[in-house]
Amino acid sequence: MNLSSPSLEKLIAELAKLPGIGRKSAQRLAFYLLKQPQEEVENLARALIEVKQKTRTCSVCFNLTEGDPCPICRDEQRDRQTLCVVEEAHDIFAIEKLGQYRGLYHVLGGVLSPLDGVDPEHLHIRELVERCRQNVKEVIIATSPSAEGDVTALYLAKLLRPLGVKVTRIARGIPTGSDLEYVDEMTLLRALEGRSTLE
Amino acid sequence: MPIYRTEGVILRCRDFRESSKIVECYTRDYGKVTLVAKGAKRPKSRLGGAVDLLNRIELVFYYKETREIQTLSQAEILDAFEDLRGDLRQFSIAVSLCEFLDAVEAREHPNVRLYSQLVQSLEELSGVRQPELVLYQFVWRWLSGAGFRPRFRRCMACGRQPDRGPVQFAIGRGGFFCANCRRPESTGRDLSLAALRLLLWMRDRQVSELKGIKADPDTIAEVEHLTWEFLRYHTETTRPLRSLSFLRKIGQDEKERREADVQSTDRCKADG
Repeated sequence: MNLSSPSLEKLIAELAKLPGIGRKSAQRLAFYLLKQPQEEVENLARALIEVKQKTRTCSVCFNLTEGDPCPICRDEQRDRQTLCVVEEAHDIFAIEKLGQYRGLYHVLGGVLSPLDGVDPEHLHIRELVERCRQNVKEVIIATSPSAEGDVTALYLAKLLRPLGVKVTRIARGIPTGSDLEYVDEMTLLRALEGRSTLE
Repeated sequence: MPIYRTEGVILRCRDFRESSKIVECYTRDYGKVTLVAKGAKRPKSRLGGAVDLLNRIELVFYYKETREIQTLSQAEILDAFEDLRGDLRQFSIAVSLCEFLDAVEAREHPNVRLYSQLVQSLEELSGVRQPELVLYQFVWRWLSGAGFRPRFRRCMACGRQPDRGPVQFAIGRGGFFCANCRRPESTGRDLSLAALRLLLWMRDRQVSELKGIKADPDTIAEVEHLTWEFLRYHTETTRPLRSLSFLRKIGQDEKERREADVQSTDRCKADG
């Protein structure tokens, strides 16, 4: 399509590169932005540039941060003997939203994937082992409950247990609000295995 | 739009848009099909738990001839091959089987025998001491089924069973010349008698019989080399399996770790 404004065409093309955004949605976003006050658009543009310039990975846990180490690693109030291993930095946001976990994190950067050629060297596993040598008592593995997530969890468990670290995996089971009748067998089995005593 | 019900093994699974997944599934009755599992990543999805790599599932899907991607409507797990998830090596071999099938099989080309072989291989894999043999056996049996059945029993020239090695395996001709009948052959490769016997044995046996086998690592390396060379020559499958490179890498890592452990133990002993 040939628009009368090349800059508008350029914006649509750039927006369409974003994940989950097709040409039609990009067009809608571009027209929405055009209708916004100058200041709003400038704020957005500045935020985009700023986030790119300032955000880096924490050298300790590989979380996204502006200062190194990240605020979580710097926080003296947190339990430094417990590490929660997650696949990506955005998983930290999900857990932090709960406000219940007080330990530290370690971002792996993915999961082991034979199909995609992701081997242990592609992930931050060596750094995790190093951290576990320094007074860590428990490692909670919070990789996704998929075949590759499970394999990664077991691989890490085998690697860390000899260091005298307690290795646990987050529980999996029936989501709140769902019906037992519709839960698949694997999930139900896991839920039964991970049952807890009612106090 | 017809609705099909069958069972299949998930060969590949990738995220699609916000909450869906695209699944490559080798089905018993319709061969390899690509399916979209809409909303499979949502916590309450009825597909989510079943749609995962290696799962054997019973599935229902809507089929439209003009589409490359069909719509998955129902899926229930028949077997998740849980044992394989506990061992990175076995898991990688299982994934290699899937990757191989995904690479060589055409879309919507049913083959019930091949499907049974795949399921049987995945079922038996965890009990086999050298799991890579399951993969090579699967490849040779696939080659035989595809019309490339090699002659491992008798020499192509004299018709005798070989009594000494190495024999000359002519990849282009799909057979071997014994030590007495060797000749100039552009695709000829030296093959030890042990490797030849292992190939013959594997091709004609059931996967369950591999449980009792313990082959020499050099013999396995020979078999591996010939398997991929033969496959490349006859099927023009040029892309190496990523999962195999992964397997070699973790094998190397394990070896290095073991060596490091031995060295540190030796150092401790030396220090008293």
